[in-house]
Amino acid sequence: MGGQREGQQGATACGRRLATAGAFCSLVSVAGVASAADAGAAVEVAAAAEAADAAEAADVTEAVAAAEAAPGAWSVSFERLFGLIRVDAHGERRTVQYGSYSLFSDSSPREGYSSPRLALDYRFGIGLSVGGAVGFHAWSRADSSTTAWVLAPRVGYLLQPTSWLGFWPRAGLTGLWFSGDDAAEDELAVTLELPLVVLVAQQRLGVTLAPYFEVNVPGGEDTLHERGVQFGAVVFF
Amino acid sequence: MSWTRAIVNPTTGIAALASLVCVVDPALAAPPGHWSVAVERLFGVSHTWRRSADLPARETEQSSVSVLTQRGEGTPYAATRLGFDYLFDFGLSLGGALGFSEFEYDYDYDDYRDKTALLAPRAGFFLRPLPELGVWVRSGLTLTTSTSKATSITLEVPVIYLVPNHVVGVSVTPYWEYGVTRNDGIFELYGADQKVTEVGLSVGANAFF
Repeated sequence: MGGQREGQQGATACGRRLATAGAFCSLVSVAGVASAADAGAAVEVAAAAEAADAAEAADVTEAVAAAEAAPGAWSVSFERLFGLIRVDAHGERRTVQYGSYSLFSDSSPREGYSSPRLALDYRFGIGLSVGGAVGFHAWSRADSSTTAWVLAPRVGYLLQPTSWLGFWPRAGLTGLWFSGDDAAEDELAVTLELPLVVLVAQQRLGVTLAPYFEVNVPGGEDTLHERGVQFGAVVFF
Repeated sequence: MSWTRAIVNPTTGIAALASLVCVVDPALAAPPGHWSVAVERLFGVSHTWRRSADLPARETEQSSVSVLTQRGEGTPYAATRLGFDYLFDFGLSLGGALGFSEFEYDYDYDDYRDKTALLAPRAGFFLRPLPELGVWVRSGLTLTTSTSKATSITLEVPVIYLVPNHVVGVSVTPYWEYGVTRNDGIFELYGADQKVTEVGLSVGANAFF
């Protein structure tokens, strides 16, 4: 898509240059027929030359701006900041359905796989992306301590139907590992998500609205599934 | 009068901010944009002291270290949030963060539902000693309600690396949440029964428009 746009811009720029050059040549011919000493014609020629230079400079500026405006290959995402969450946990240890909704901040307890996180992705020229998130959290009180790890590798494909809107279907795995004084828990899920990306600031920043499913990979009788819609942001470099 | 009371006195804070506005060269205070939207408290380190209102008072401490995510049981001030600020040309900023959530547990034998809220108004001053570096001194209040209520006077100093030719900056923010209770003078109305104080260093990001 970027190549097509560059091609169109190149053709437009070439056309403008030809038209400008034609006008310039006509002016030179007319000036030559009339008289090289004609002061008025000389001024016109100079003006035409200036106009040609300005048009070329404008074309170059447009091309550079267009190249700079395209989303970069690297992106850093701020994910699962707030939104809707639904978690279903079934097993010997507990059976519970958990639901929450939040706006701008989520102070509710953490259940399921979601937590605010930073993710890194690389996008190839064809639109394919590879990346994921990794995180660590340890906390301790006087009588207990807990450690948690999150790992979420993924692949995706960024579709950009317009300059300000993108769809980024992604699939991957999400692993959670908890260990504490009282108990330990490991969970693994297949993650499917479809972030809708609204691009702003010359396509360098995106606001994301991401519906997602986390389907537990069965490792026993216990299951932990999650689904929801969460807001976030993505920065392209 | 203790030094903490001096901080609580709003006149002291206003005077300090006014002094800063007067002495700083406008060129040094030029913000990268008039509006800032920030993702705050994404991860970092913190230590929290909690003192209950019970008699005798129970005191507990909690330490937390998080990298790239915040997964654990949070303290009242730990929640990741969006912050919105307006920055004037001479560096003064006004804004804050707010958030709301509601959650429900549905067990076979029982249900449990609760709401949480966060309100953190603030004023600050943006200094830009280098084109790619911002230092944003901010002060305000943080009011939270979750399973328990906590209120604090907030002092934070985000140090922001402004990515060249971009609208975003990466922030590293030392912060101090000084807990106040109903018994602390002007906080009779908004103060909490428990006193929760926290110091920490958090990582986030800002976008300037």
